[in-house]
Amino acid sequence: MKVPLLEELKIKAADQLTPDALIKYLSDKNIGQNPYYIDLGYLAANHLENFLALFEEVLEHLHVSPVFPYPIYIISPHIDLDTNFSIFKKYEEIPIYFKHESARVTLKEQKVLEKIDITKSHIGNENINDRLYEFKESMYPQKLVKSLSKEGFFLEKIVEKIRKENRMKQRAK
Amino acid sequence: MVKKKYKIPEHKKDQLKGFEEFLDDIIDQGDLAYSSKLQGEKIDTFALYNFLEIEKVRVQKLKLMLSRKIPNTIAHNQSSEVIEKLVRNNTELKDEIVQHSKSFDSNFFSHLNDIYNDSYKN
Repeated sequence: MKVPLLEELKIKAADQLTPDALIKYLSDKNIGQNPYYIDLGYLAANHLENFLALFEEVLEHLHVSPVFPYPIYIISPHIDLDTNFSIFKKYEEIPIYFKHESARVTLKEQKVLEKIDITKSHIGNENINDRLYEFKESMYPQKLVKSLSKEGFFLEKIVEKIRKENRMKQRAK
Repeated sequence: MVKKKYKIPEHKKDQLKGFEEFLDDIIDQGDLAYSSKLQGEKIDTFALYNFLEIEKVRVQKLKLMLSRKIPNTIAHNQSSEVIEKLVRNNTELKDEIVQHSKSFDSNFFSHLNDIYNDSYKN
Protein backbone atom coordinates (compact mmCIF):
# COMPACT_ATOMS: atom_id res chain seq x y z
CA MET A 1 0.00 0.00 0.00
CA LYS A 2 1.48 3.32 -1.10
CA VAL A 3 1.28 6.68 0.63
CA PRO A 4 -0.69 8.96 -1.74
CA LEU A 5 2.08 11.37 -2.68
CA LEU A 6 2.31 13.45 -5.82
CA GLU A 7 4.18 11.65 -8.60
CA GLU A 8 5.02 12.50 -12.15
CA LEU A 9 3.33 10.66 -14.98
CA LYS A 10 5.81 10.81 -17.82
CA ILE A 11 4.13 11.01 -21.19
CA LYS A 12 6.36 11.63 -24.19
CA ALA A 13 5.00 12.72 -27.56
CA ALA A 14 1.50 12.95 -26.12
CA ASP A 15 0.05 14.21 -29.40
CA GLN A 16 1.02 10.98 -31.16
CA LEU A 17 -0.36 8.54 -28.58
CA THR A 18 -3.13 6.16 -29.58
CA PRO A 19 -6.03 5.52 -27.17
CA ASP A 20 -5.02 1.87 -26.75
CA ALA A 21 -1.42 2.75 -25.87
CA LEU A 22 -2.66 5.35 -23.39
CA ILE A 23 -5.09 2.89 -21.78
CA LYS A 24 -2.31 0.33 -21.38
CA TYR A 25 0.12 2.87 -19.95
CA LEU A 26 -2.41 4.29 -17.48
CA SER A 27 -3.55 0.83 -16.37
CA ASP A 28 0.07 -0.11 -15.67
CA LYS A 29 0.48 3.05 -13.61
CA ASN A 30 -2.63 2.23 -11.57
CA ILE A 31 -4.16 5.60 -12.33
CA GLY A 32 -6.73 6.92 -9.86
CA GLN A 33 -4.96 5.39 -6.87
CA ASN A 34 -2.43 8.20 -6.52
CA PRO A 35 -2.19 11.92 -7.27
CA TYR A 36 -0.24 12.57 -10.47
CA TYR A 37 1.04 15.47 -12.49
CA ILE A 38 1.90 15.45 -16.17
CA ASP A 39 4.33 17.92 -17.68
CA LEU A 40 2.87 18.80 -21.08
CA GLY A 41 4.66 22.11 -21.45
CA TYR A 42 6.04 20.98 -24.81
CA LEU A 43 2.58 20.78 -26.43
CA ALA A 44 0.99 23.64 -28.37
CA ALA A 45 -2.48 24.79 -27.27
CA ASN A 46 -4.41 22.91 -29.99
CA HIS A 47 -2.42 19.70 -29.47
CA LEU A 48 -2.88 19.97 -25.71
CA GLU A 49 -6.63 20.43 -26.13
CA ASN A 50 -6.83 17.35 -28.36
CA PHE A 51 -4.72 15.30 -25.97
CA LEU A 52 -6.77 16.33 -22.92
CA ALA A 53 -10.00 15.40 -24.71
CA LEU A 54 -8.52 11.98 -25.50
CA PHE A 55 -7.17 11.66 -21.97
CA GLU A 56 -10.62 12.40 -20.50
CA GLU A 57 -12.21 9.77 -22.74
CA VAL A 58 -9.62 7.21 -21.70
CA LEU A 59 -10.14 8.01 -18.01
CA GLU A 60 -13.88 7.64 -18.47
CA HIS A 61 -13.26 4.27 -20.09
CA LEU A 62 -11.16 3.28 -17.06
CA HIS A 63 -13.86 4.65 -14.67
CA VAL A 64 -11.42 7.14 -13.18
CA SER A 65 -12.29 10.72 -12.34
CA PRO A 66 -9.69 13.40 -13.16
CA VAL A 67 -10.41 15.05 -9.79
CA PHE A 68 -11.58 12.50 -7.19
CA PRO A 69 -10.33 10.78 -5.10
CA TYR A 70 -6.92 11.89 -6.36
CA PRO A 71 -6.36 14.72 -8.81
CA ILE A 72 -4.36 14.66 -12.02
CA TYR A 73 -2.61 17.98 -12.53
CA ILE A 74 -1.35 19.23 -15.87
CA ILE A 75 1.64 21.51 -16.25
CA SER A 76 1.40 23.73 -19.29
CA PRO A 77 1.63 27.42 -20.19
CA HIS A 78 -1.87 27.20 -21.75
CA ILE A 79 -3.93 27.48 -18.56
CA ASP A 80 -7.11 28.92 -20.09
CA LEU A 81 -8.34 25.73 -21.72
CA ASP A 82 -11.84 24.44 -21.03
CA THR A 83 -11.15 21.11 -19.34
CA ASN A 84 -11.86 19.14 -16.17
CA PHE A 85 -8.16 18.99 -15.32
CA SER A 86 -6.40 21.55 -13.18
CA ILE A 87 -3.69 23.20 -15.27
CA PHE A 88 -0.72 24.99 -13.72
CA LYS A 89 2.11 26.89 -15.32
CA LYS A 90 4.83 25.20 -13.29
CA TYR A 91 5.34 22.49 -10.69
CA GLU A 92 5.73 25.00 -7.84
CA GLU A 93 2.17 26.27 -8.41
CA ILE A 94 0.61 22.85 -7.73
CA PRO A 95 -1.06 22.74 -4.26
CA ILE A 96 1.36 21.46 -1.62
CA TYR A 97 -1.17 19.10 -0.01
CA PHE A 98 0.16 15.96 -1.70
CA LYS A 99 3.75 17.15 -1.79
CA HIS A 100 5.56 15.22 0.92
CA GLU A 101 8.84 13.40 0.99
CA SER A 102 8.37 9.67 0.74
CA ALA A 103 9.51 7.71 3.76
CA ARG A 104 9.15 4.19 5.10
CA VAL A 105 5.83 4.00 6.90
CA THR A 106 5.57 2.91 10.51
CA LEU A 107 3.06 0.37 11.78
CA LYS A 108 0.79 3.16 13.02
CA GLU A 109 0.86 4.86 9.64
CA GLN A 110 0.26 1.55 7.92
CA LYS A 111 -3.00 1.15 9.87
CA VAL A 112 -4.19 4.61 8.78
CA LEU A 113 -3.23 3.75 5.20
CA GLU A 114 -5.34 0.59 5.38
CA LYS A 115 -8.36 2.65 6.47
CA ILE A 116 -7.75 5.10 3.63
CA ASP A 117 -7.54 2.19 1.20
CA ILE A 118 -10.89 0.76 2.32
CA THR A 119 -12.61 4.14 2.00
CA LYS A 120 -10.93 4.63 -1.38
CA SER A 121 -12.32 1.32 -2.63
CA HIS A 122 -15.81 2.45 -1.55
CA ILE A 123 -15.34 5.63 -3.54
CA GLY A 124 -14.17 3.56 -6.50
CA ASN A 125 -17.51 1.72 -6.46
CA GLU A 126 -19.37 4.99 -7.04
CA ASN A 127 -19.72 6.40 -10.51
CA ILE A 128 -18.00 9.68 -9.68
CA ASN A 129 -18.46 11.42 -13.03
CA ASP A 130 -22.22 10.70 -13.05
CA ARG A 131 -22.57 11.83 -9.45
CA LEU A 132 -20.77 15.09 -10.14
CA TYR A 133 -22.88 15.68 -13.25
CA GLU A 134 -26.09 15.12 -11.24
CA PHE A 135 -24.79 17.46 -8.57
CA LYS A 136 -24.07 20.16 -11.17
CA GLU A 137 -27.57 19.73 -12.59
CA SER A 138 -29.10 20.14 -9.13
CA MET A 139 -27.24 23.42 -8.73
CA TYR A 140 -29.27 25.32 -11.37
CA PRO A 141 -32.55 25.46 -9.37
CA GLN A 142 -30.48 26.65 -6.41
CA LYS A 143 -29.29 29.58 -8.48
CA LEU A 144 -32.90 30.44 -9.33
CA VAL A 145 -33.77 30.25 -5.62
CA LYS A 146 -30.94 32.66 -4.90
CA SER A 147 -32.05 35.22 -7.50
CA LEU A 148 -35.71 34.96 -6.40
CA SER A 149 -34.83 35.49 -2.74
CA LYS A 150 -32.66 38.46 -3.73
CA GLU A 151 -35.62 39.94 -5.60
CA GLY A 152 -37.92 39.21 -2.65
CA PHE A 153 -35.53 40.94 -0.28
CA PHE A 154 -35.49 44.03 -2.52
CA LEU A 155 -39.31 44.09 -2.75
CA GLU A 156 -39.62 43.69 1.02
CA LYS A 157 -37.39 46.70 1.49
CA ILE A 158 -39.64 48.79 -0.77
CA VAL A 159 -42.80 47.59 1.00
CA GLU A 160 -41.24 48.40 4.36
CA LYS A 161 -40.43 51.93 3.16
CA ILE A 162 -43.95 52.47 1.82
CA ARG A 163 -45.51 51.27 5.10
CA LYS A 164 -43.24 53.56 7.10
CA GLU A 165 -44.19 56.56 4.95
CA ASN A 166 -47.89 55.72 5.26
CA ARG A 167 -47.60 55.55 9.05
CA MET A 168 -45.92 58.95 9.09
CA LYS A 169 -48.63 60.42 6.86
CA GLN A 170 -51.36 59.10 9.15
CA ARG A 171 -49.64 60.59 12.19
CA ALA A 172 -49.33 63.94 10.40
CA LYS A 173 -53.08 63.95 9.68
CA MET B 1 22.59 9.68 27.54
CA VAL B 2 25.58 7.38 27.07
CA LYS B 3 28.57 9.29 25.89
CA LYS B 4 30.39 8.00 22.84
CA LYS B 5 34.04 7.11 23.24
CA TYR B 6 36.29 8.94 20.82
CA LYS B 7 39.53 7.27 19.85
CA ILE B 8 42.52 9.60 19.74
CA PRO B 9 45.76 8.36 18.17
CA GLU B 10 48.63 7.89 20.69
CA HIS B 11 50.99 10.34 18.97
CA LYS B 12 48.35 13.13 19.15
CA LYS B 13 47.50 12.65 22.83
CA ASP B 14 50.53 14.72 23.93
CA GLN B 15 49.54 17.56 21.61
CA LEU B 16 46.06 17.72 23.12
CA LYS B 17 47.22 18.08 26.74
CA GLY B 18 45.60 21.08 28.45
CA PHE B 19 42.70 21.14 25.99
CA GLU B 20 40.67 18.38 27.69
CA GLU B 21 37.94 20.69 29.04
CA PHE B 22 37.62 22.49 25.73
CA LEU B 23 37.36 19.19 23.88
CA ASP B 24 34.66 17.97 26.27
CA ASP B 25 32.60 21.05 25.37
CA ILE B 26 33.02 20.34 21.66
CA ILE B 27 31.95 16.73 22.15
CA ASP B 28 28.88 17.88 24.10
CA GLN B 29 27.92 20.19 21.24
CA GLY B 30 28.32 17.29 18.85
CA ASP B 31 25.99 15.20 20.98
CA LEU B 32 23.50 18.05 20.98
CA ALA B 33 23.63 18.30 17.21
CA TYR B 34 23.13 14.52 17.00
CA SER B 35 20.09 14.64 19.30
CA SER B 36 18.56 17.60 17.42
CA LYS B 37 18.98 15.62 14.18
CA LEU B 38 17.09 12.75 15.78
CA GLN B 39 14.33 15.14 16.86
CA GLY B 40 14.09 16.46 13.30
CA GLU B 41 13.55 12.92 12.06
CA LYS B 42 10.77 12.48 14.62
CA ILE B 43 9.07 15.68 13.44
CA ASP B 44 9.27 14.40 9.85
CA THR B 45 7.57 11.16 10.91
CA PHE B 46 4.77 13.07 12.59
CA ALA B 47 4.35 15.23 9.50
CA LEU B 48 3.64 12.11 7.45
CA TYR B 49 1.35 10.66 10.12
CA ASN B 50 -0.50 13.96 10.37
CA PHE B 51 -0.87 14.07 6.58
CA LEU B 52 -2.28 10.53 6.58
CA GLU B 53 -4.77 11.38 9.33
CA ILE B 54 -5.97 14.45 7.38
CA GLU B 55 -6.11 12.39 4.21
CA LYS B 56 -8.22 9.75 6.00
CA VAL B 57 -10.76 12.40 7.01
CA ARG B 58 -10.75 13.92 3.51
CA VAL B 59 -11.40 10.58 1.84
CA GLN B 60 -14.17 9.75 4.34
CA LYS B 61 -15.87 13.11 3.68
CA LEU B 62 -15.57 12.51 -0.04
CA LYS B 63 -17.16 9.10 0.33
CA LEU B 64 -19.99 10.61 2.38
CA MET B 65 -20.56 13.29 -0.22
CA LEU B 66 -20.65 10.86 -3.15
CA SER B 67 -22.58 8.03 -1.53
CA ARG B 68 -25.07 9.92 0.68
CA LYS B 69 -25.18 13.68 0.36
CA ILE B 70 -25.47 14.03 -3.43
CA PRO B 71 -28.03 11.17 -3.83
CA ASN B 72 -30.02 12.61 -0.90
CA THR B 73 -29.96 16.10 -2.40
CA ILE B 74 -31.29 14.73 -5.68
CA ALA B 75 -33.83 12.33 -4.14
CA HIS B 76 -35.26 14.90 -1.75
CA ASN B 77 -34.90 17.97 -3.87
CA GLN B 78 -37.07 20.73 -2.44
CA SER B 79 -36.05 23.39 -4.91
CA SER B 80 -39.34 23.34 -6.87
CA GLU B 81 -41.41 23.88 -3.70
CA VAL B 82 -39.11 26.65 -2.53
CA ILE B 83 -39.21 28.32 -5.96
CA GLU B 84 -43.01 28.13 -5.98
CA LYS B 85 -43.16 29.68 -2.53
CA LEU B 86 -40.74 32.45 -3.42
CA VAL B 87 -42.58 33.30 -6.65
CA ARG B 88 -45.88 33.51 -4.72
CA ASN B 89 -44.30 35.68 -2.04
CA ASN B 90 -42.74 38.02 -4.62
CA THR B 91 -46.04 38.35 -6.49
CA GLU B 92 -47.82 39.29 -3.25
CA LEU B 93 -45.15 41.88 -2.48
CA LYS B 94 -45.41 43.33 -5.99
CA ASP B 95 -49.21 43.52 -5.65
CA GLU B 96 -48.86 45.36 -2.36
CA ILE B 97 -46.44 47.86 -3.92
CA VAL B 98 -48.79 48.44 -6.85
CA GLN B 99 -51.78 48.87 -4.49
CA HIS B 100 -49.91 51.52 -2.51
CA SER B 101 -48.62 53.26 -5.61
CA LYS B 102 -52.10 53.36 -7.19
CA SER B 103 -53.66 55.52 -4.45
CA PHE B 104 -53.92 59.22 -5.31
CA ASP B 105 -51.91 60.50 -2.33
CA SER B 106 -49.06 58.00 -2.80
CA ASN B 107 -45.43 59.06 -3.04
CA PHE B 108 -45.29 57.60 -6.51
CA PHE B 109 -47.97 60.01 -7.73
CA SER B 110 -46.50 62.96 -5.87
CA HIS B 111 -43.11 62.31 -7.48
CA LEU B 112 -44.75 61.97 -10.88
CA ASN B 113 -46.53 65.23 -10.20
CA ASP B 114 -43.23 66.95 -9.37
CA ILE B 115 -41.60 65.65 -12.54
CA TYR B 116 -44.56 66.77 -14.63
CA ASN B 117 -44.62 70.22 -13.07
CA ASP B 118 -40.88 70.67 -13.47
CA SER B 119 -40.98 69.68 -17.13
CA TYR B 120 -44.08 71.40 -18.43
CA LYS B 121 -45.36 74.11 -16.08
CA ASN B 122 -42.15 76.14 -15.68
